Formats: sequence, C-alpha cells, structure tokens
Amino acid sequence: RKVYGVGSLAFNSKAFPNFTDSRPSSRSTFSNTPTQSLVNTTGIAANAQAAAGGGSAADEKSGCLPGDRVVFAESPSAPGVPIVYRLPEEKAANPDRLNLDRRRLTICPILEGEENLRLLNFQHNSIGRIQHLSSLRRLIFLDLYDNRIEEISGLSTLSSLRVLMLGKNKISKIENLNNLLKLDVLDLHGNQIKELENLNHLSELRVLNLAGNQLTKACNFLGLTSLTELNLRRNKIQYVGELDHLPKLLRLFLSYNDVRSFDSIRCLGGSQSLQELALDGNPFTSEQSYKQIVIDQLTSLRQLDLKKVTDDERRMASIVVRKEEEKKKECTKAEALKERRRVAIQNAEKRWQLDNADQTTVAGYDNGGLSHYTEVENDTLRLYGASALDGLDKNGLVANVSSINHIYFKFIPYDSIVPHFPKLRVRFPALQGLTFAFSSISSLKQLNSLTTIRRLDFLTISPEGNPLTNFSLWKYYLLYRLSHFNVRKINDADVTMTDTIVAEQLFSSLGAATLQHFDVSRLLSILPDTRRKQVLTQCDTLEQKKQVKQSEERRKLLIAAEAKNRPTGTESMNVAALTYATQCRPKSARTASQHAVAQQLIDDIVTSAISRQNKLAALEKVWNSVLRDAVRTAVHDYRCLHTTVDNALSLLHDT
Amino acid sequence: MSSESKDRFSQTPEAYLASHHIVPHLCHALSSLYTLKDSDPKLQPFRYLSDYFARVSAGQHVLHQDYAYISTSPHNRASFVKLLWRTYKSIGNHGDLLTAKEYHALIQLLCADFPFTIVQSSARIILMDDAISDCLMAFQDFLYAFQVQFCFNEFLNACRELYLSLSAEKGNSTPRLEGVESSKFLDGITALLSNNTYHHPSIRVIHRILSKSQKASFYTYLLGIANSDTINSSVGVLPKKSQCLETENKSVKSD
Repeated sequence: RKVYGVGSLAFNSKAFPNFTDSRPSSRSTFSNTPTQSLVNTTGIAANAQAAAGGGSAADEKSGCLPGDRVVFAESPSAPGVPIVYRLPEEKAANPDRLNLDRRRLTICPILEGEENLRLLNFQHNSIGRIQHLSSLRRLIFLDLYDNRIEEISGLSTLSSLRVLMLGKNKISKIENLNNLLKLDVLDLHGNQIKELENLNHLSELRVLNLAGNQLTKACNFLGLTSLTELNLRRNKIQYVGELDHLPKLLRLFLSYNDVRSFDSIRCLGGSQSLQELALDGNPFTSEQSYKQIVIDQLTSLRQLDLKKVTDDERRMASIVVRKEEEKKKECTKAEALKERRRVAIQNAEKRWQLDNADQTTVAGYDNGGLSHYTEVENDTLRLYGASALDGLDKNGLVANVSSINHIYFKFIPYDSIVPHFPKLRVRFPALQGLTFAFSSISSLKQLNSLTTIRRLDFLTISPEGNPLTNFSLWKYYLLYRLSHFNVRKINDADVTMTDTIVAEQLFSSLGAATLQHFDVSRLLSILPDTRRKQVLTQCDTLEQKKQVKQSEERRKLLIAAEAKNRPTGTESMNVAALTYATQCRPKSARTASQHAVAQQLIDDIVTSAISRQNKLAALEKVWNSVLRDAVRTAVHDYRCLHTTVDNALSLLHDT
Repeated sequence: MSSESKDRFSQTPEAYLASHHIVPHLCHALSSLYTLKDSDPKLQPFRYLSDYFARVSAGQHVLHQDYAYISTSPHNRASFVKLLWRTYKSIGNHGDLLTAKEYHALIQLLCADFPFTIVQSSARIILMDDAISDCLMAFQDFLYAFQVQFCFNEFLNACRELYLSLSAEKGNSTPRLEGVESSKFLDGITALLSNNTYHHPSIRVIHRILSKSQKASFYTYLLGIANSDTINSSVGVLPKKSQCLETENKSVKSD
C-alpha cells in the first residue's frame, strides 16, 4: 500500500495514535516517494487513512454501527438532513477524529457538538455538496475522496485546514479556497478540472495533485512558493509555464500528457531545484534525442522517468544536443531551398497557363516573383519556365557540362527554345536526349527545327501540354525528318525497324516533291554553305565532262552529286527543305525591300508595255485611213502633176 | 471561265494580264531571283525565267511557298491540290483516319502559313456539321472536299451567304436541316455569278445537282459539288475518286 509522501511527518501524537496503520483498500493515489526524511516543523501531518477504529462499510443504516459508533437522527427543523450524534464515551475516546466513510451519505450531516474536531473522514459516500462544516473551526484534515461533489464550496470558515482531499469527485473548477491559507496538501485528482486558477494565495502548499483532470496547460503558479511536489499526470497538457518561479519544486510528474517538444516545458530549464521529472507517455519522448535535450537543459535533475541521471550521461547529452541543433539548421536550410524551388516551378507553370489560355489573370501568379528554375539532377539538366533559357548562355550555369546527357524542358514554349538548339550541341557535347513537357508543340512543322541539334539518341515529347501527341502520325514524321539522326528511342519506346520503314513509306514523297519542284538554284540555297561549295565544285567537274546545256540535266547532276557527297549524319537535300521558321522572326527587311523593288520594276515594265500596246492598238485603228489618205493624196497629185508642181514651187517662193 | 470565251486578242492588255495572273508571277519570279543569285554562281536570269514559267505551266511551282502566292490563281490552287494528292497518297494507302487538325499540320508541311479556316470548311463538308474538331476522316474524302473548297473558296463563301439569307427570309430555325427551295437557290447563284467574277464550277453541273430535289440543304449541295466527277475533271488535277489511291503505273513520272 502506498504511503502518502509526507506520512512520516510526526503528528501531534496524541490525536492520531494509529495513523501509520495501513489499510488495504485504495484511497488516494499519491505516488510512493523514496524519500522519507521529510520533516515538517509544524508537526502536523495527515494520513490518508483515517485510522481510528476502522471497520468496513456497515450494512445497517441507522442505529449503532461498527467502527465509529455514531447515531443518526433526523432533525425536526430540517427534514431530510441527518444529524450525527456520538455517545459521550465515544467522544471522550476520540474527541478530535470522526470517521464517517461508507455510510451512504448523500448530504453532509450536521455534526452535533463536534466543535473540537480536527480530522474528518467522509470517504466513499455520495455527498453532492460540502455543507454544515462551518462550526468546525479547528479542522485540519478533511477527506471527501470518492463522493459526488460538483463544486468547491462551504470551506470558507476552515482557516486552519491543512489537508484537503477532494479526489474522485465531479469538480470542474478550482475556487473558494481563499481562506485556506494554511493549506499544505491539496488533492484534486480524478475530477474534471480544466484550468489552473485561484491557487496563487496558497503560499504554504507543498503538495498539489491534479492528476486525472482535463488541464491543457499548466501555468499560473505564481505564489505557490512552498510547492515541492506537483502531480499533473494523465491530463491533456501541451504547455507548462512559470515553474521556474517555484524555488522549492523538487518533483514534477507530467506522465501521459500531450507535451510535444522541449519548447512546451522550456521553463523547467530555469529551475534550480527540480530533481525528479517524469515525462513518459508524452509525444515528446519519441523524439530521437529527447533524453539528451532534457538532461542537458535541466542541470539539477537527478532522475528522469524513474532512471538516474549520471554525469557521463550529462556530458554525452550536451554533445548530442549540439549535433541535433546543427542537423536541424541544415534541415531548415534544405526546407527553405525546397520551398523556393516549389514556388518557382509553380510560378513557371502559372506563367505558361497565362500564355496559353489567353486569360489576363491566373490565380496565384506572382508577377514579381521568380518564374523560372534550373537544376541539375544526376546527368539531367532541368529547366522550368521560359526565363530559364537565359541561363543557358551564361557560363556558370552548370558545373560539369560534359556530364550532362539529357535536358528537360518544362513550361517553356517550344518556339522560344528553338533559337537555342544550335548552341545546345556546342555547350553540352555529351547531349544524348531531350524531353519537352508543357511546351505547346502543336504542329508537325515544328519538328523540322530539331534538325539544328545535329544529333540525338532519344527524344520525348510528353502528352501533357503538347497537342501534337494527339496526331496519329507524329512519330513517323519525326523518324522521317530526322532519319539522319538514327534516333533510338521516342517517348521511351524503342524505335523498331518497322517504324522506320513505315515512316519512309508514308513520307518519302515529301522529299521527292522537293526534288521535283525546286530548280537548281533553289536546291543549292537549302544546302549549308560548306556543303554547297563542295557540291558545286563536284557538279562543275561533271558538267564539263558531259557538256550539259539543259538545266534539267544540270539538276539531275546536282542531285546525284549531292547524294554522293553526303557525309554520314547529315540530312539529305530533299529533307533539308523542310524547315521551320518561328513566327516571331519577322521577314527580314532585306527580303521585304527586294520584294518591293521587284514589284516596282514589274509595275514599270507593265505600264510601259501596256502603254505601248495601247499605242499600237490606236495606230492599228487609224492606220488604214492614214494609209488610204496618203495613197489617195499621192494618186491625186500624180494625176494633176502640173498643178502639183506649180503649187509646190509657189510654196517654195513664199517661204 | 469568262476569259475562255473571249479571244485573247480582243481583251484589253490589263484584262489579259489579270486573267492570266501574269504580274504576280513575274513579281514572284523576280523576288526569287534576288534571293537565289547568291547561292548559285551560274544563275542566268533569262534562263531562270524560262525555267520558272515552264514549272508554272507544269504545276511544279507551289511547294514551300507562301499562302498568298499559292492562292493567287486557280491554276496555282489546282497545282497545290495535285501536290497534296501526290505527296500524301501514301498516307491514304496506309489507311489512317486523321482529324482536321492533323490534315492541317500535314498541309502546313507543304505551305507553312496555310490557314486553318479552309481546312475546317473542308472538314465541314464531309462531316455535315459544325466541325467537331476531333472527328476522323479518310484521306480520299478529305482530298476531294479540300479540292472544291480551296479552288472555289470565294464562290462557296458567297453561296453560303446566299443560302443563309434565303433561309432567314423563310424563317427557318435550323437552316442546315430544312434547306431552301432549290429553284430559288439556283436563281440566286446565277445572279451571283453574273454580278461577280468568281472562279466557279460549271453552271450546268450545279443545275444538275440542285434539280435532284425540291429542297436543297447547303451541305448536300456542297457534297454534290465535291463528289461530282465532271467538276473534278474540269479542275483537271485529280483522277476519279475511286482511282485516286492507285499507284500511277502508266502516267508519266515527272510532269
């Protein structure tokens, strides 16, 4: 049987000769403390067991009972309220103790003539209210354990009270203890108390038991300057405060609460007195370095969770705690970086949505914030957001350029990436593959621009954000257009021989059309400069041999020459005509001016041709009559030759 | 064609130039000359011009050109249809059914700025509906619809306006389904043609199509034009629809 901690305190011996008796039945559940040398100088102690007599609960209700022999009667003036009398012999034997436990009392009885009572036991009854105790001015021990009391009241006259046991009742609020300034032990375990209050005047209180209540935080301890033991087990406490203000606090029991971190009990670090602490059953204990943190911070602690704290442990603890702190710092840094990354990528996505959906606003788009992100993961370079492309030009972007063999584009419009293709091969010589996600690739002609990468082993165009993948023939076209790449994988699927053959079947007429529709000059213009010179010289030598005159033959020669002189991995001429001009590139000023000049020239020629034609047509009309008139005049003149000659001569004379 | 009835000598010079679209061709030829003279050192201007017009007459001048150039003359447009047929016959043979958008992408491989509206209108002819854009079509169907839509684009648009105004007169709630009086429609079309110079299919064929029933809906009218062999042969670039996917064994390879 657990003996109450202060049980060894000496009592005013006469009054309670049997208080060291132990009773088998469970009463209050104060913990068993090993220290037994606590001595209270005032010499007053209490025993949870009211020792006198002590029988078990009697079955008879009225009349004389075994144990404390009392007589129950009813007062005529207050019906329903029992009055307790004691026979004078009994009173003389135990004048200051009265044991009324298990008497099935529902109301506090009126105690007739017991003004000298110092110890009163009402355990295991059904009392609902504390009443009729106002005359007991000398009471120092009141036990109301295991009743049905709902409210602390009726104690205002008991200014000498030292021990108040109110465990296992239905009390929901701590109140009305104002006059109990001498209170030494207060037991309120097993109630429904939600808040710690109205205790600050109890400056002599040494033991406070609030186990088994509904407290969520434990502060408001100022004033309890004598408190040495505080039991807060089995509550819902998440926060403890102000305990460093209690200069005498030795033992603190917080088992089975809701303490989650050391921060919730940080005030204990300031306590110089705390020797024993119990925190088992709290979420905090599952943290990795729980013990070390507590030992490190609570320098006076000698026992934690019923285990002794050694000096070695203390030393180790501080080391561990430092390490933990550093790890946490690293963690928060990493967390912050991760968050930045997430926000940037999200912004890039919103930017892409804005551009694509033609909405003026997209929820959550942070116009000022970062809307691109670049990272390197193993050998993949990932770019999010259109502005990330600017980083491709900078030198410091990637530490080890020769290790990158895959570039991943997300939320970047394809047309913005196209101008960078030629640079990619130069900057990342080990590049093997590209992936496009959310790139708004919507047309087959856009695939033509991939030829500027010059070589690729695998390519992925993800269905997300790329309407092109809805077309059933896009892969075949890709294979045809980039046949000189010998791509090995498209969208993570191997390219089979059948695929290549089908691609060739489907689209070879595109290339053939080029060779038919383009004349020599245009064919030459689609070749890159270096190849063009080569092919031209080849062609010239052939021409001289064969003496080609017709341009058709020259064209055939050119085609043959080009086919012969093609290095592996370069595209053939017929495919080279399939280009992609991004819409953003405006027609160069030169072309426009050329066109204007041509137009002007033609217009001039046309105007002059038309005017000449008109003149001719007009001449046609009048020519007949002009000729006729001329002939007629001549014939006429010839007939009258003399007259004509005379006229002519006279004309000559006159002028 | 109105110009066929007139002898070329009885036309004014301007009319002659316009009817044969000579000025645009010349401009185009000259611009190409400018751009190409850097690539080919042996380029001779007059030879180039004669080659150019030889290609124009053979219909081989429309690949990888601007839409503005391709749509200049009926001949250009017809040549483009022929090009389309020749290039993608293999896809038709392969049997894939494609959406309007995919056909548009394929067309844009041949002409980079070809507009989607014409492809969409062609799709509508086949689908008889306001372009559910994901509906699949066979290559032959699309090709013949595209031919009439592209070659007679302005004419067909005018017919559509006429049709809508006629059905509005009648107070039709669903003009597409109910149709209008064929005779009224035909009269309207004749009036259109006499007032404007659209390139249009033969009036006789239109008459024949519309006289098949009393009421004509716009899409049956269009389908009739698309499927008519006579009109097809008058455009002169595609074989009969039943034969369009056959490989050309007998015809000359390079034309």
